[in-house]
Amino acid sequence: MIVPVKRVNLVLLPEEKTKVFLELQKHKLFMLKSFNLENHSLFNTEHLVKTQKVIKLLESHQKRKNPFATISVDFKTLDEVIEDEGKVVDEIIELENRIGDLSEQVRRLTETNTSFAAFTFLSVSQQKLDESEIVGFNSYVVDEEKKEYLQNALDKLGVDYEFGVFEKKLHVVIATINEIKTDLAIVLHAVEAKEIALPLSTDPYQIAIDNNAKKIVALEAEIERLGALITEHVGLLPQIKTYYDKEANRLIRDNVPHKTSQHFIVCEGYVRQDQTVALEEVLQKVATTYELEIIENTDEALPTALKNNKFVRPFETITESFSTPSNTELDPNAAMSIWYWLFFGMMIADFGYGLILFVGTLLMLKIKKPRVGFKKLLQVFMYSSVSTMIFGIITGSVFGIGFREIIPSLPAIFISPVDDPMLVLIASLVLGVFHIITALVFKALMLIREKDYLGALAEAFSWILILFFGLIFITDMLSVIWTKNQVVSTISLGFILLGLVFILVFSGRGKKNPFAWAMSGLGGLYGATSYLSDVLSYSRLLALALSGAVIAFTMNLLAGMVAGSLFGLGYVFAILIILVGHLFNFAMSLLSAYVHGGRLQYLEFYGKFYQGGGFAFRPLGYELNYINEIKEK
Amino acid sequence: MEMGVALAAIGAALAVGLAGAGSSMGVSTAGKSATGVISEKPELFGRVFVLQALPATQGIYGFLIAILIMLKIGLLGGTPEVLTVAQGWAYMASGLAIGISGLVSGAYQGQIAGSAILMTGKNPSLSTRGMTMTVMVETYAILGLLVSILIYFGI
Repeated sequence: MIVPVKRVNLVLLPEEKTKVFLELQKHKLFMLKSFNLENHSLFNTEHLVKTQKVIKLLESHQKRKNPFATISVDFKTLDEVIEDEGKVVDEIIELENRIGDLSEQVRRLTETNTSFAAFTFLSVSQQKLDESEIVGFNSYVVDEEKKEYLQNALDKLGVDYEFGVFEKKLHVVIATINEIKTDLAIVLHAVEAKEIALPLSTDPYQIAIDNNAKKIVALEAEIERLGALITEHVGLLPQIKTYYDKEANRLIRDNVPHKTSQHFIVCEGYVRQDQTVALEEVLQKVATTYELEIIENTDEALPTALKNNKFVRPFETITESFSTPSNTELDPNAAMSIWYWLFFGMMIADFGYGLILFVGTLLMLKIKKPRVGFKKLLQVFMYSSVSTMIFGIITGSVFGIGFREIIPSLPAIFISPVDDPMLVLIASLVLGVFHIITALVFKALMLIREKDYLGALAEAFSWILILFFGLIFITDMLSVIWTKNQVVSTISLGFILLGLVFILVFSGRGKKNPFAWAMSGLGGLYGATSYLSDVLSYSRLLALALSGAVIAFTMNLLAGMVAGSLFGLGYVFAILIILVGHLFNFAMSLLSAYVHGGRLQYLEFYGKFYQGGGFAFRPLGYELNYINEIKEK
Repeated sequence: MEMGVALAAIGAALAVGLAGAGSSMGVSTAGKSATGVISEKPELFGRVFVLQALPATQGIYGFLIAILIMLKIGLLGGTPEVLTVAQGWAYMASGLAIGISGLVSGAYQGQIAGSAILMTGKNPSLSTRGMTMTVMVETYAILGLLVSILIYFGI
């Protein structure tokens, strides 16, 4: 149900702000106005970003990750202020920066060595060649096959030169004197020589390369040593993660938006009406002076606070991902959760799958301790696994094997979508009719609340009559449950007509023009087509149950076919087929049930009455990124 | 082999073949968007993967009808039924219902799945709405499957 929310102003002494909000975070009673923590810039604070970087770095240094590692802390640890706690983060960042510098040096040396590699034949250093004033030295690249020709030509000219072959190219350095410049140019032109510059070096290239290589080895050893130092800190990961959450929440408290007056600060916010007293109690405990000013009759939009029991609460996420209810409407979650639960089970309808889902989600919840959103989704699955098991018993199916195949003496009471598709189809459609009727009841209640009584007759009660008595009428006609009875069919026909009259007469309520009034009535009747398609939409309950059942059956069949073959090796394949096949079918069934279950709520159910468009009441609490749970004492 | 059995076998082939083709097109279209989003935001893999898997169901529905038909005509062990030619045609019709609806809806569902993936990339909190929009296309494959099943059990 939706609980009223009050707009309040909290007046505090500035020096008590931190203390008060620390306590408020613990109790989750007060929502701050316009304080949306999603993508808030405070999370980009330099130190938080650094800490996050360190966490990622340490995680990459972790040799064996424990997927089940969780962090639980108590409030005391969370609120403790420890001097220099962030020091280790800076240390690790420093180490990482040094590794970065050294890696850059290694990269440069490697690059230099690559540029030297072509000229290792030179016996003199580049610097020396450059210093020579009498002779100019030029270097060229020539195709390797022209080597002999060039050698002969250069020998004939009588010039000094050195050369070497590198990557199929002849690299040659020639001492050029002025007298032979023209001749040399002709020779070089003939071999299509390209002039290139020698890379700068004080030592001969080969020596430089060897020296650099030594340096690289030393640098890499140092990098490894520093890396090992970082690895030593891996054990601190839980503490650093906790530290991140502590820091983030401290920043949240420090950044609480407020207005300042001369002596006080004013924080605008909201409180649930039923929690006002609790909030006052908390404030009395921590603040010496405070005032909680309740602002009645505000024009502002108020957040929507939901209060539901343990079963319904997780299902709120299903509604939440459609749209948050507006705070003026009825909370549909209680009704929706039951229908979602029912349809989910019908769509998988296998005892084995239900059991696996139950155990799986239970273990995930207990061991992984997931945080808010995912936790609720897992809870939805866990609750729905129970209906899956119930429908598994009704259909008499465990991992696609019929109960009666296992125990033949069982009576034939099971209703399986494979054996009785028509019966299951009818059951699906009938449930669908009741699902839609539930939606129409909501619609009627909303219209009545708005005092639009004729609207409730025209748009809600009319269709409830038509759908319900239509169902009775068809049941009677087909003599499914009872034999055809004139009285029943006449009465139900009467109510259907009454419904039609409601639509024809009241749809055009408030319209003066008789033509417009008549058109509205006929337009209302046209809604019948959408109701027809809505009801047919529930056939997916059968279709999905059937597809899951047949695929499970097929996997068993395939496994059975290979089991006896290949001198016993077949059993290995059979087990493989069973495992992979059922895992696949389980995953696809789960996905289908989740998605189509949602669709039936969003479209067929919420489409009838739901307004949405509100924003949720999210009281200030601890925002946890790494900590899985806070142990409350 | 009887003519009826041969026709029914073609029906099974069409069911799994056409619907599977639709799903492959759909999953691949969605996958193209998925790779783009993942390259920028690898942490969204879970949500994106679910969206990419949505157009895969048509292929499964086709496979399901194919298996049912093959069981009936004895291609998967068991005692084969003697089918008349007319029954063979009817099984082919059963296969075609999911085959055609699966082919088209699978391919088109892939496109909306792809857009939903891009939407998730921009705003991850919208992924469930994207899923719901994607599933709208699948309705017609489910209706096709339903008709396939009804024909199958009606023969």
